[in-house]
Parts: sequence; C-alpha cells; structure tokens
Amino acid sequence: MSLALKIILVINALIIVYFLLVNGTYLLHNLIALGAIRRYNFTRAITDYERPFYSTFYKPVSIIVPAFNEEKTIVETVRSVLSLRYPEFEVVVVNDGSSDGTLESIKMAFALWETDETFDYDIPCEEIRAVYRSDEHPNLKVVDKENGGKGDALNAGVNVSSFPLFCNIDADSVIDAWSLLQIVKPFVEDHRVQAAGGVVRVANECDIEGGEVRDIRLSRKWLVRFQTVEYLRAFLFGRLGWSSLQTLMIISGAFGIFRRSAVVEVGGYRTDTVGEDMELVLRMHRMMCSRGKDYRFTFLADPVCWTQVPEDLASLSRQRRRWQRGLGESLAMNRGMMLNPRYKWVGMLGFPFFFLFELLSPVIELTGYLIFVVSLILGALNLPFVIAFLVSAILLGILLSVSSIFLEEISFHKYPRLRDVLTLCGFAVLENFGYRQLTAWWRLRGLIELLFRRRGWGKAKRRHFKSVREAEAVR
Amino acid sequence: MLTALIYISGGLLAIILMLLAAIIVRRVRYDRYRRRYQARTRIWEPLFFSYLEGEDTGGRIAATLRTEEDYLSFVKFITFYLKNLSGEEAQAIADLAFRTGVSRRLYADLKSRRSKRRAVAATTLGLLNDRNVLPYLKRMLEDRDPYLVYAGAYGIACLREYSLFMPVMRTLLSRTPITYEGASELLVRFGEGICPTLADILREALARYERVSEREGEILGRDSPAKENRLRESPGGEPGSGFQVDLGDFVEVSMLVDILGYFRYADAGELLLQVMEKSGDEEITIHVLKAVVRLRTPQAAHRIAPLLDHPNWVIRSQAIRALGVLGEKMYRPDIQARLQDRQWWVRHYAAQALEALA
Repeated sequence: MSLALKIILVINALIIVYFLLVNGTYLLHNLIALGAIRRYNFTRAITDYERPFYSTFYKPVSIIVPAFNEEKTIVETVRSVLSLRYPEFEVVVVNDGSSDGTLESIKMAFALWETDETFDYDIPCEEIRAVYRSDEHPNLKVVDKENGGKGDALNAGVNVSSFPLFCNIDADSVIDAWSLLQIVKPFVEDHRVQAAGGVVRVANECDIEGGEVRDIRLSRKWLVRFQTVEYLRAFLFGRLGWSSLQTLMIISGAFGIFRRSAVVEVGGYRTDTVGEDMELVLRMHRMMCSRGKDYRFTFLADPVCWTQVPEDLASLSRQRRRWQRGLGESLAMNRGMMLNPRYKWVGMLGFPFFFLFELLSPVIELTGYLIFVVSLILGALNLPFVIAFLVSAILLGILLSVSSIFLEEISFHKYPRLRDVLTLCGFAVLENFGYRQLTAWWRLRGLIELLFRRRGWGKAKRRHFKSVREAEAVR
Repeated sequence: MLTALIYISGGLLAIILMLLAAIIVRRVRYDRYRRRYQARTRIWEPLFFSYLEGEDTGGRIAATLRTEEDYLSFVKFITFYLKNLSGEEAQAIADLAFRTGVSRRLYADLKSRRSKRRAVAATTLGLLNDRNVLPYLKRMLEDRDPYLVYAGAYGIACLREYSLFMPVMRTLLSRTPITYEGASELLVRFGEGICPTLADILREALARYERVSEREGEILGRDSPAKENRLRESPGGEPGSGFQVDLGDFVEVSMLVDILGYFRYADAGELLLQVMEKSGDEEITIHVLKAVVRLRTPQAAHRIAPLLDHPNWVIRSQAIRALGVLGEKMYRPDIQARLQDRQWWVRHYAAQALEALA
C-alpha cells in the first residue's frame, strides 16, 4: 500500500471518528434539551406571567435597538417594542450613522425632538451627535451617532440607558408581546443570573400587525424554510442543551437581556469583531470565573423574537461568512479559556466543542466529501461502504432536525397548521442534499476571510414586514 | 463495518419515522384537546356565571366533569378566575371546587410522584383557600426542588397563614436562589397583615444599629462586616422562629421596605425615614423614597429635601418625585432649580412635580 493511500485511509478514519463525536454530542444535547423542555413545561405550569405586568417589584428594563440602514423595518420594530407588556421600560433606538432614511423615518413616525440630555460614557463609544425624545412616547429615546458598528451602537445604547437591565434586539426583528416579561423572569427567580437569551424564529411571511405577530406562517421560499429548520435546531436543542449544562457561550445579538452593571464592568461590547454577542458572553464568563462569582447565564425557549432571514443566496452567504468570522474572532479573543479548568464547563467542554465542532466543522466536512471521492477513485474504500456511511450521516442529520421539530411540538406549538410542521419535516430531509453543503462552503469561506483578516458586516437586503407591504399595496 | 452501518441506518430511519409519527399524533391530540377545551369553556361559562349569581348550585357543572381531562381542564378554567376574583366570589369558586370533586382530585395530585402535578395542586389549593392542605404545603417547603419549595410557599401565602410567614420568608431567601423582587411578589400574597411583623424586623435592625454605633461608632454600610447576608446563611430553624436583618443587608432591607410601601402601611412612615437616614445606603434610599410616595408620610418632605442635591441622579429624581407627590410647596424653588439638572429624568420629574405643585 502506497504512503498516499495510507494517509488517505488515516484521514478517512479520523473523519469518521470526528463524525461520531460531533453527532454523538448533538444527540446527547438533544436528550438534555428534552429534559430541559420538560422542566420548562413544569415551571410554566406554576408561573403566572400576567401578574408581574401589574407588579411594582419588577426591575425596569431598557430595550436597545441598534439600527444601521434599516429604514424599511425600523418603524414597525419600534412600534412592536413599544407595545410590549411590561410594567416599566424604555426603548433606546441607536441610529449607527445610517446612510439611508432610518433616522428620518423614525423622526417622522414618532414626532421626535432633540433634547439636550446628558449621560456618562460608562463604556467608550463613537461620538453621540444627538438624543431625541418623543412626546407621544415618553419612554422612547433615539440616539444618533457616528457609525462604529453594531457593538459600538450597543455600547452607546448602554451608556444612554437608565435601567439596571438592558435587552438588545435587532432592528429587523419583532418580539412577542409577553416576551419581555418571560425573559426577565430568570432575573426575578435567581439572583445569580447575569444574562438571559430568548429564541429567535423566522418571521418572513408571518402577518405582523401593530407590532405583533398575528399569524405565524411558513414562508413559501425554500431558502427561508431551510433556515427555519436550522433556527429550530440551533435554538431548541443547541442553546437549551448548553444552558442546562451551565455552558451557554452565546446569547443572540437579536434577542438577549443583560445586567447593565455586569456589562459595564467588562467594558461593554468589543467593536473589532463581527461576533460581538458571543465575544461579550465569553468575556463575562471569564470575568465571573476569575472573580470566583457564582453566576448563571440562561436560555429560555419561550420568549420569542421574530426576525427576517435572508431570502437570496448572496445575502445568506454574506451572513453565514460573517457568523463564521464572528465565531472565530470570539474564540481567538478568548483563547485562554480553551481547556482551562479555571473556567469550569465553559473552558473544558463548551470552548473546545465550539472550536472543534463549530469553527473547524466546514473544513472537516468538505475535506470529508473530497477524501471520500478520492478514496473511491483510488480504490481505498469500496462503494457500498461509502454509500452506507453517507446514508447513515444523512439520516443522523435528519434525526437531529426532526427531533428539534418534535421538541417544538411537545412544547410551544408556534406553527398552528399541521401542514406547516410536516413541510418543515420535509425540509429537514431536503436540507441534506445541497443546502447543508452550501452552508459548509460559505462557512469555509468565512474561515478563510478570518485568516485574511477581512472585516465588515456586508450589506443585507431588507424587506418591509408583511403588514407594511400590504398597507403600501392598498395605498 | 458495512453491516454495522446498515443496521445503524435502519435504526436511525426507524427512530425518524417514530418521531414523525409522534409529531403527527401529538399535533392531532393537541388540536383535539384545544377544540374540546374551547367547547367545554363554552358550556362552563354560562353555568359558572349563573352559579356565581346564585342561580345554580353547581350541580350542572359537576355533571359535565366525567373524565380526567374534564377535571384538568376545569382546574385550568377556574384558576383564571381565582387569580382575578376575591372575597365572596373566590369563596364561591372554592365551594364549587369542593362540590364538583376538584379539591379531592387536587389532594390526590399532592401525593403524586410527578412534581408538576404536585406544584399545580399546591398553588391551586392555595388559591382555593383550602386550609386542610397546610401540612402538605409545609412539607413542600422542605423539598429539595426549589420550584416545589416555591409552589409550597405560594400556596401558604395564598392561604394567608401568618404563622408560617417567617418560615416561608426564611426558606425562600435561604433555600432558593430567588431575588428579593421575586420574594416580594410572593410574600405580598400573605396580605397586609404581615406589615407589623416586617416593621418589627426593621425596628429591631434599627435598634441594633443604634446599640452597635453607640458602642463602637461603627457605620453600617455595604462594606461593613454586618452586610454579611444572615438570611441566606441561616440553616433553617423552627417554624415561627424569627430572624434578623442588619441595616447593611441592603437587599433584604429593600425588600421589607418595598412590601411596606406596597401595602401603604402608614405606621411605618417614620421608621422607613429613619432606616434611610441611618443606613446611608443608596439602594435603600431609593426604595424608601419610592415607598414614601405610596405612604405619603406627612413629615417626609423635610427629610427628603436634602436629597435634592444628592450626587446619585436616581436619588435626586426620586426625591423630586416624592416632593411633588407630597405636595410641599415650600420646596418649589429647589425643584425649579432642578429643571437645569444634567440628567433628563431629574428634569422630567422636576417638571412633573412643579405641575403637581402648581
């Protein structure tokens, strides 16, 4: 046997071991998430979400909405946020130097006027040009600042915010009316909680009226349906599983809530990464562990933030490359945590997992496809074995996705039509034939861009939410 | 290896198909349950209201409860009204639950091995004001699961069993990770009868502070050793036994202040002001200011006025708000001066206070 063939066989064996490890861990995660959902259903049974709405004891919350070129969705998003059910909250919209009509559209929609309000720069951020307020909505603040990226916009929002908790949501998102009460609940139930994240779900084609999601529909676009399955998988068993292990390493930038004092203490969001949400959580872990603090980062599967996902391949490719770069940057910036027992489960389990099975997975996955083809050509592997392996790999992928849909079915029933749920199951099968490989390719490109130090967010195409599109059509 | 892979694939396919079947079955069952629940509530609503009006004895509702699902649905149905009704109507619902056998079912659930059933039974029986359940609820306070402890505490609080107020408060703060906001939310269910006890705890803390400061000239603040959280560390103790807080325990003191403010317990006005002045803690000061607004303590204005220049803007804004509510016109010029404050909220409350004083 030639040396080349031996090397190929060794690589093949390594890929199979890697595959077993990844999927074994994911399956374990599934089981943990199942337990967590059952527990969550139990706590929901004795939780009265309406009473706190009338309570005087809840901590007030600042909701920070960073916006960059979001003129199509920003008004609807702010309306949605202002209609939230919560005893005391303020909304801080941060216009991060948009070059479109973002600021003008909110100024007009909410009759804003410029204040001479002052605040402390607790965290460094780009210059704030003006702060606006609205007479119609005294709890609305709009910050206009120089462009500095999402992390910088969030830092500006934290500086201007007045309350002990802040919740960040994306400007192209809508959150369910009761979501804020639900996501604040851990801060009432457990004094150790420093941050909490909620579920992000796909809003494309959903009916949104008066800032609330009225009818949840599955999009007709295939690309959106694939992402719907991905989001269910990532949130319902991914984050829930990590949270149960006290190893939550990411709280989505689209919907998360933090103790303001803890974020200020670590110096706020970093502005030199596109993965500022994950990086912040990792840095907070580091700070809390190094100070020996008993703390919790938690994930809740009930509070929902509805977001628009890309509907074209180019936008999706940019998003996935950016996410991969963000993941790589966050891990690189906190590399001292890798296999460091000082950081407990995060250092010993979460960090190595994200490095090996999330960051490097596109390299291994695509190498695997390539090596299998080469092995077949060279006759190192026989065809029946390769086919049997690929079939089991695909079935395992389908199993993971279908089990997320099952978790959804035993808990939240967000999709009211059985047809939609079954369609999702169909897409859990279809995603393995092309879509999964495509995302692996984009992630690999993201990794290459990371190595070549490419920066920036890229431009995403935004649409109005469905209600706005319909209103405009009527006009 | 190939055979193993074929078996694995077969196994995976079987699991996927089972999951798909489970998804469909669960969905169909869920939809049917939802439809049936809606149909039941359509039947129950008129019967229930005629029962509350005294036009029916509840027999017709009892006749509709045949299956386990009927009972569970009825518990869900009445829980909504129990949370929103009080007095005679709440008592009437409790009587209905007894007559229809719902209480009996809930007792059985209290002994269930399933935590969820026990927790729901404990909270619902508490809401039904069924005092026979107290021994079970007391036992739940000792459970290892903090949620069951919470459910037991909730039930006891709904029953307004004052003799268990202290053990409940101590258990919540020492054996569950609950925050003081969460504990306050639950403790207020005991009703305003707990206020004298809470005021006594604060009085003792104040007296102890005075004794200590006389002896040692010690200033109790957040950095003082007295800040050590005694409640969370106390090992349990006998039911009914007291506990103590120090003025440095700003979290617990704030909780007590909040509850007294919530019930507008006027007798505590002077006490709260003394706590604020003696503790010197900013957190406690903010809570006292908020409580004073609810209590409308007449002598408070002169004691609050010096806080208009406090370096903490939250304290400045709350002090202005309090002065506005208390209606003390002599501080109008001072409040007017705060219209130039660098903090928007301070200016906002100053404008509001001036409007109230106009």
